[in-house]
Amino acid sequence: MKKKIELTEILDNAYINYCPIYLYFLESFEVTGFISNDINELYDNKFFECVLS
Amino acid sequence: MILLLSEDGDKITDIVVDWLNYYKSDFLVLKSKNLYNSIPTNIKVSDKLEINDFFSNINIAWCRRWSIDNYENINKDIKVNIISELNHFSSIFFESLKNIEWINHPNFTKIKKIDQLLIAKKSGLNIPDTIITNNRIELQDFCNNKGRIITKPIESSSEIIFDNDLYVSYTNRLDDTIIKKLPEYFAPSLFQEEVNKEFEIRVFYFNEMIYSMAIFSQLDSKTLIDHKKYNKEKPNRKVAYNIPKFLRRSIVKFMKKSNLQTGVIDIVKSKNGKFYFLEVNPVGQFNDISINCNYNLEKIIAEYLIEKDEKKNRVN
Repeated sequence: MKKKIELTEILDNAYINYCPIYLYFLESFEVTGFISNDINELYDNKFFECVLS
Repeated sequence: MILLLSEDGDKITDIVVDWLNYYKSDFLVLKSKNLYNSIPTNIKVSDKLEINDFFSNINIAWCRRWSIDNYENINKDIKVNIISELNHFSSIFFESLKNIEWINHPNFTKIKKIDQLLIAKKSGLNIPDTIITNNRIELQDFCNNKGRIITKPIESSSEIIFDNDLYVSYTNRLDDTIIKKLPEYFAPSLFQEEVNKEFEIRVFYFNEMIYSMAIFSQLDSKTLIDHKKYNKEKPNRKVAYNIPKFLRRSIVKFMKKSNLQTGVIDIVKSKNGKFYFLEVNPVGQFNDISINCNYNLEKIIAEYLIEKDEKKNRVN
């Protein structure tokens, strides 16, 4: 299930203004694709290695 | 000899290496860790940089990727020093190999996204109107003028691990509701007009050869703004696509001005018939283009490298 996260959960409120706006839209990355047959997704996603290591 | 610069876990390198092995070619795969544990590397600094004989047989080099290895359990200040020193060394090492033919010289692969947009515009490509601002009034004006706008990093974002979950940021649409909630001033951020897309195009460029794939991401609300928000149940349709000649000419011009011999380019075809350049990733993944369109790009790269290497050997 994809989750969204508020920056305030990660950061002390005092630091929130230092964050560029794109960081306000964080979404959890689903790793279930690894066991799917979608080879394109497997190759296309740079985050797999990070998750696996 | 062919030199391949790469990093651990890169699938494309593995497939190209399979082809190089198949053709029994003479090649070396070099990763940054090899520079301090297995390959003798000496650079003499006199009136020019002179590298040792081990590297003298290299005729052509392909910089697939290059990164300084991550050091997990080390004091962070020492880590900063090690990475900085090795990055500088890498730059000198590549400079000492400047007389060979490069498929992307590593010193040119870190071209900034904003510079890309400027070069693209000068090369005759359309780019979405873009601003970087730190204040709400300017942003609100931009949004009022453009209708729909998106935000994304000025350069690039990396993953964030929080509570054992991995989080990433995608390109996101901004609307009035969000803008009104922003403080008067915020961290400088990039905003771009949202191109009303008919479909997206991923282009693999390799020495003036262009291999394109259309991605029909606009029909799915999940992938409408960013096709990397994959829909696993119903993946976007991806098909081989021939770009028009005028676009081809502009892309070649752009890549030459950027000193890049290869890269993966993101383009959007808008509903008004225009093509918009978004960005080039000189070290981007292209397996999806190769597989979906049956281009066999890894074989094409291996054969090109072998041909150039053998040609140079014959001359020498």
